[in-house]
Amino acid sequence: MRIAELINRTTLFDRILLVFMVFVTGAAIVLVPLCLPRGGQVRIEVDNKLLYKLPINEDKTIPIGGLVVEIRAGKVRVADSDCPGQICVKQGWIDSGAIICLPKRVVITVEGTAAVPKGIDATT
Amino acid sequence: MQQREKYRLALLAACAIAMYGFERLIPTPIPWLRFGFANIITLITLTLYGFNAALTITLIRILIGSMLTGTFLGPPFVMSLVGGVFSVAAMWAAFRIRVFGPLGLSLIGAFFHNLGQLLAVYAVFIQNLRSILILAPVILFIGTLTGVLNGLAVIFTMEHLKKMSDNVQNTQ
Repeated sequence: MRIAELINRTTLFDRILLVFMVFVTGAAIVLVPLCLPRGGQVRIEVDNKLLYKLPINEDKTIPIGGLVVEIRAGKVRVADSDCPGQICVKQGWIDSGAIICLPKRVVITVEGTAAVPKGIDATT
Repeated sequence: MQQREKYRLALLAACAIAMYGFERLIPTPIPWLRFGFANIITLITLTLYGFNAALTITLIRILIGSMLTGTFLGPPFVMSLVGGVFSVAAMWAAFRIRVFGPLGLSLIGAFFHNLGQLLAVYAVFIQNLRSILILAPVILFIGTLTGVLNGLAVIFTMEHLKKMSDNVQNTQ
Protein backbone atom coordinates (compact mmCIF):
# COMPACT_ATOMS: atom_id res chain seq x y z
CA MET A 1 0.00 0.00 0.00
CA ARG A 2 1.31 3.40 -0.90
CA ILE A 3 1.49 6.37 1.46
CA ALA A 4 -1.24 8.26 -0.41
CA GLU A 5 -3.56 5.28 -0.07
CA LEU A 6 -2.72 5.07 3.59
CA ILE A 7 -3.60 8.72 4.12
CA ASN A 8 -6.88 8.12 2.30
CA ARG A 9 -7.77 5.51 4.90
CA THR A 10 -7.76 8.09 7.65
CA THR A 11 -10.75 10.29 8.25
CA LEU A 12 -10.71 14.03 8.82
CA PHE A 13 -11.30 13.45 12.54
CA ASP A 14 -8.35 11.05 12.67
CA ARG A 15 -6.08 13.76 11.38
CA ILE A 16 -7.53 16.41 13.68
CA LEU A 17 -7.10 14.06 16.63
CA LEU A 18 -3.51 13.27 15.64
CA VAL A 19 -2.59 16.95 15.36
CA PHE A 20 -4.34 17.60 18.66
CA MET A 21 -2.48 14.77 20.42
CA VAL A 22 0.86 15.93 19.04
CA PHE A 23 0.06 19.45 20.19
CA VAL A 24 -0.98 18.31 23.68
CA THR A 25 2.13 16.15 23.97
CA GLY A 26 4.37 19.03 22.95
CA ALA A 27 2.61 21.37 25.35
CA ALA A 28 2.94 18.87 28.20
CA ILE A 29 6.65 18.37 27.53
CA VAL A 30 7.21 22.13 27.62
CA LEU A 31 4.79 23.13 30.36
CA VAL A 32 5.01 20.38 32.98
CA PRO A 33 8.64 21.03 33.98
CA LEU A 34 7.83 24.75 34.19
CA CYS A 35 4.89 24.46 36.55
CA LEU A 36 6.23 21.61 38.63
CA PRO A 37 6.20 22.72 42.22
CA ARG A 38 9.61 23.44 43.64
CA GLY A 39 10.99 20.82 45.89
CA GLY A 40 14.32 19.24 46.15
CA GLN A 41 16.14 19.78 49.34
CA VAL A 42 15.32 20.90 52.84
CA ARG A 43 18.34 22.42 54.55
CA ILE A 44 18.33 22.75 58.28
CA GLU A 45 21.05 24.97 59.70
CA VAL A 46 21.79 25.60 63.32
CA ASP A 47 24.26 28.37 64.22
CA ASN A 48 25.04 28.69 60.51
CA LYS A 49 26.19 25.12 60.41
CA LEU A 50 24.41 22.75 58.07
CA LEU A 51 23.02 19.89 60.14
CA TYR A 52 20.59 18.21 57.74
CA LYS A 53 20.05 18.14 54.03
CA LEU A 54 16.97 16.10 53.27
CA PRO A 55 14.79 15.46 50.24
CA ILE A 56 11.47 17.26 50.72
CA ASN A 57 9.38 14.44 49.29
CA GLU A 58 10.45 11.98 51.95
CA ASP A 59 8.29 12.13 55.04
CA LYS A 60 10.29 12.60 58.21
CA THR A 61 10.14 14.12 61.65
CA ILE A 62 13.35 15.48 63.16
CA PRO A 63 13.81 16.82 66.67
CA ILE A 64 16.44 19.58 66.91
CA GLY A 65 17.01 21.09 70.32
CA GLY A 66 13.58 22.26 71.41
CA LEU A 67 12.16 22.16 67.88
CA VAL A 68 10.36 19.42 66.05
CA VAL A 69 10.67 19.76 62.27
CA GLU A 70 8.23 17.78 60.22
CA ILE A 71 8.53 17.02 56.51
CA ARG A 72 5.43 15.62 54.87
CA ALA A 73 3.90 15.53 51.38
CA GLY A 74 6.48 17.86 49.85
CA LYS A 75 6.14 20.46 52.59
CA VAL A 76 7.97 21.31 55.75
CA ARG A 77 6.92 22.90 59.02
CA VAL A 78 7.95 23.30 62.59
CA ALA A 79 5.49 21.09 64.40
CA ASP A 80 6.45 22.04 67.89
CA SER A 81 8.74 24.48 69.67
CA ASP A 82 9.40 25.23 73.30
CA CYS A 83 10.16 28.89 72.67
CA PRO A 84 7.76 31.59 73.91
CA GLY A 85 7.08 33.29 70.57
CA GLN A 86 5.98 30.25 68.53
CA ILE A 87 6.47 32.29 65.36
CA CYS A 88 8.00 29.39 63.51
CA VAL A 89 5.13 27.10 64.47
CA LYS A 90 2.53 29.66 63.38
CA GLN A 91 4.18 29.97 59.99
CA GLY A 92 2.83 26.53 59.20
CA TRP A 93 3.65 24.43 56.15
CA ILE A 94 5.95 25.84 53.49
CA ASP A 95 7.15 24.38 50.21
CA SER A 96 9.46 27.26 49.33
CA GLY A 97 11.31 29.98 51.18
CA ALA A 98 12.43 29.60 54.75
CA ILE A 99 11.39 29.21 58.35
CA ILE A 100 13.68 31.02 60.74
CA CYS A 101 13.69 30.54 64.45
CA LEU A 102 15.89 33.22 65.94
CA PRO A 103 15.93 32.19 69.60
CA LYS A 104 17.22 28.75 68.64
CA ARG A 105 19.29 30.06 65.72
CA VAL A 106 17.68 27.50 63.45
CA VAL A 107 17.17 28.23 59.76
CA ILE A 108 15.12 25.86 57.65
CA THR A 109 15.24 26.57 53.93
CA VAL A 110 13.70 24.79 51.00
CA GLU A 111 15.90 24.96 47.98
CA GLY A 112 14.33 23.74 44.80
CA THR A 113 16.57 22.25 42.19
CA ALA A 114 13.76 22.74 39.69
CA ALA A 115 12.78 26.18 40.97
CA VAL A 116 16.09 27.87 40.27
CA PRO A 117 15.34 30.20 37.37
CA LYS A 118 17.60 29.34 34.48
CA GLY A 119 16.29 31.86 31.98
CA ILE A 120 17.21 35.47 31.45
CA ASP A 121 16.59 37.67 34.46
CA ALA A 122 16.80 41.39 34.98
CA THR A 123 20.53 41.43 35.50
CA THR A 124 21.65 39.50 32.46
CA MET B 1 -22.89 -18.40 22.32
CA GLN B 2 -22.40 -20.40 19.19
CA GLN B 3 -19.51 -22.78 18.76
CA ARG B 4 -18.26 -20.82 15.77
CA GLU B 5 -18.13 -17.61 17.79
CA LYS B 6 -16.29 -19.35 20.59
CA TYR B 7 -13.62 -20.58 18.21
CA ARG B 8 -13.29 -17.14 16.71
CA LEU B 9 -12.85 -15.49 20.10
CA ALA B 10 -10.35 -18.13 21.17
CA LEU B 11 -8.33 -17.59 18.00
CA LEU B 12 -8.34 -13.81 18.39
CA ALA B 13 -7.42 -14.08 22.06
CA ALA B 14 -4.54 -16.40 21.14
CA CYS B 15 -3.35 -13.82 18.59
CA ALA B 16 -3.53 -11.10 21.22
CA ILE B 17 -1.57 -13.18 23.73
CA ALA B 18 1.03 -13.95 21.08
CA MET B 19 1.37 -10.24 20.33
CA TYR B 20 1.69 -9.54 24.04
CA GLY B 21 4.40 -12.15 24.43
CA PHE B 22 6.19 -10.96 21.32
CA GLU B 23 6.39 -7.32 22.38
CA ARG B 24 7.94 -8.28 25.70
CA LEU B 25 10.91 -9.60 23.75
CA ILE B 26 11.60 -6.26 22.11
CA PRO B 27 14.17 -4.36 24.14
CA THR B 28 13.03 -0.84 25.01
CA PRO B 29 14.98 2.04 26.52
CA ILE B 30 12.48 2.43 29.37
CA PRO B 31 11.40 -0.82 31.07
CA TRP B 32 7.69 0.01 31.25
CA LEU B 33 7.54 1.24 27.66
CA ARG B 34 5.19 -1.11 25.83
CA PHE B 35 3.97 -0.88 22.29
CA GLY B 36 0.58 -2.34 23.05
CA PHE B 37 0.55 -4.49 19.91
CA ALA B 38 -2.27 -6.53 21.45
CA ASN B 39 -4.43 -3.48 20.89
CA ILE B 40 -4.22 -4.16 17.15
CA ILE B 41 -6.17 -7.37 17.72
CA THR B 42 -8.55 -5.66 20.13
CA LEU B 43 -9.29 -2.91 17.64
CA ILE B 44 -9.87 -5.34 14.76
CA THR B 45 -12.20 -7.40 16.94
CA LEU B 46 -14.02 -4.26 17.98
CA THR B 47 -14.66 -3.14 14.40
CA LEU B 48 -15.59 -6.60 13.15
CA TYR B 49 -17.42 -8.24 16.05
CA GLY B 50 -18.39 -5.50 18.49
CA PHE B 51 -17.87 -4.50 22.09
CA ASN B 52 -18.54 -7.78 23.90
CA ALA B 53 -16.09 -9.73 21.77
CA ALA B 54 -13.39 -7.06 22.17
CA LEU B 55 -13.85 -6.89 25.93
CA THR B 56 -13.79 -10.69 26.20
CA ILE B 57 -10.52 -11.09 24.33
CA THR B 58 -8.96 -8.20 26.25
CA LEU B 59 -9.87 -9.83 29.57
CA ILE B 60 -8.61 -13.23 28.37
CA ARG B 61 -5.38 -11.66 27.13
CA ILE B 62 -4.73 -9.83 30.40
CA LEU B 63 -5.57 -12.89 32.50
CA ILE B 64 -3.53 -15.42 30.52
CA GLY B 65 -0.79 -12.91 29.75
CA SER B 66 -0.29 -12.11 33.42
CA MET B 67 -0.16 -15.81 34.26
CA LEU B 68 2.46 -16.39 31.58
CA THR B 69 4.62 -13.55 32.81
CA GLY B 70 4.03 -14.23 36.49
CA THR B 71 2.41 -10.93 37.36
CA PHE B 72 -1.05 -12.30 38.12
CA LEU B 73 -2.79 -10.14 40.75
CA GLY B 74 0.34 -8.00 41.12
CA PRO B 75 0.54 -4.26 40.43
CA PRO B 76 1.15 -4.66 36.66
CA PHE B 77 -1.93 -6.90 36.47
CA VAL B 78 -4.17 -4.31 38.13
CA MET B 79 -2.77 -1.61 35.86
CA SER B 80 -3.31 -3.69 32.72
CA LEU B 81 -6.82 -4.60 33.79
CA VAL B 82 -7.99 -1.04 34.45
CA GLY B 83 -6.13 0.27 31.40
CA GLY B 84 -7.52 -2.46 29.14
CA VAL B 85 -11.13 -1.96 30.19
CA PHE B 86 -10.80 1.82 29.89
CA SER B 87 -9.28 1.50 26.45
CA VAL B 88 -11.93 -0.88 25.07
CA ALA B 89 -14.77 1.23 26.47
CA ALA B 90 -13.31 4.45 25.04
CA MET B 91 -12.63 2.91 21.64
CA TRP B 92 -16.15 1.50 21.52
CA ALA B 93 -17.66 4.90 22.37
CA ALA B 94 -15.49 6.54 19.69
CA PHE B 95 -16.37 3.79 17.20
CA ARG B 96 -20.09 4.33 17.80
CA ILE B 97 -19.99 7.99 16.82
CA ARG B 98 -18.60 6.85 13.46
CA VAL B 99 -16.26 9.72 12.67
CA PHE B 100 -12.97 8.03 13.49
CA GLY B 101 -11.02 5.55 11.41
CA PRO B 102 -8.59 2.97 12.83
CA LEU B 103 -5.89 5.60 13.36
CA GLY B 104 -8.10 7.80 15.53
CA LEU B 105 -9.50 4.82 17.43
CA SER B 106 -6.02 3.54 18.11
CA LEU B 107 -4.90 6.95 19.42
CA ILE B 108 -7.96 7.11 21.67
CA GLY B 109 -7.35 3.56 22.86
CA ALA B 110 -3.71 4.26 23.70
CA PHE B 111 -4.57 7.46 25.52
CA PHE B 112 -7.32 5.90 27.61
CA HIS B 113 -5.18 2.86 28.36
CA ASN B 114 -2.59 5.17 29.87
CA LEU B 115 -5.25 7.20 31.64
CA GLY B 116 -6.72 4.06 33.19
CA GLN B 117 -3.28 2.88 34.27
CA LEU B 118 -2.46 6.19 35.90
CA LEU B 119 -5.81 6.24 37.69
CA ALA B 120 -5.17 2.71 38.92
CA VAL B 121 -1.71 3.69 40.12
CA TYR B 122 -3.08 6.74 41.85
CA ALA B 123 -6.07 5.01 43.44
CA VAL B 124 -4.45 1.77 44.52
CA PHE B 125 -0.74 2.32 45.01
CA ILE B 126 0.64 5.81 45.45
CA GLN B 127 -1.18 9.06 46.07
CA ASN B 128 1.63 11.15 44.70
CA LEU B 129 0.32 13.59 42.15
CA ARG B 130 3.75 15.06 41.50
CA SER B 131 5.35 11.88 40.23
CA ILE B 132 2.33 11.27 38.00
CA LEU B 133 2.66 14.83 36.70
CA ILE B 134 6.34 14.22 35.93
CA LEU B 135 5.44 11.05 34.02
CA ALA B 136 2.57 12.65 32.09
CA PRO B 137 4.54 14.10 29.16
CA VAL B 138 6.52 10.89 28.66
CA ILE B 139 3.36 8.82 28.76
CA LEU B 140 1.53 11.14 26.39
CA PHE B 141 4.44 10.98 23.95
CA ILE B 142 4.69 7.19 24.05
CA GLY B 143 0.90 6.86 23.83
CA THR B 144 0.73 9.03 20.72
CA LEU B 145 3.64 7.24 19.07
CA THR B 146 2.39 3.72 19.73
CA GLY B 147 -1.16 4.83 18.93
CA VAL B 148 -0.09 5.90 15.45
CA LEU B 149 1.99 2.73 14.89
CA ASN B 150 -0.85 0.42 15.94
CA GLY B 151 -3.40 2.44 14.00
CA LEU B 152 -1.36 2.03 10.82
CA ALA B 153 -0.99 -1.68 11.55
CA VAL B 154 -4.77 -1.98 11.88
CA ILE B 155 -5.27 -0.17 8.56
CA PHE B 156 -2.86 -2.59 6.85
CA THR B 157 -4.43 -5.64 8.45
CA MET B 158 -8.00 -4.61 7.63
CA GLU B 159 -7.00 -3.94 4.04
CA HIS B 160 -5.37 -7.34 3.82
CA LEU B 161 -8.41 -9.06 5.34
CA LYS B 162 -10.67 -7.29 2.87
CA LYS B 163 -8.54 -8.45 -0.06
CA MET B 164 -8.51 -12.01 1.26
CA SER B 165 -12.28 -12.12 1.67
CA ASP B 166 -12.68 -10.64 -1.83
CA ASN B 167 -10.49 -13.41 -3.22
CA VAL B 168 -12.52 -16.07 -1.39
CA GLN B 169 -15.75 -14.67 -2.75
CA ASN B 170 -14.38 -14.49 -6.29
CA THR B 171 -13.20 -18.09 -6.34
CA GLN B 172 -16.46 -19.42 -4.95
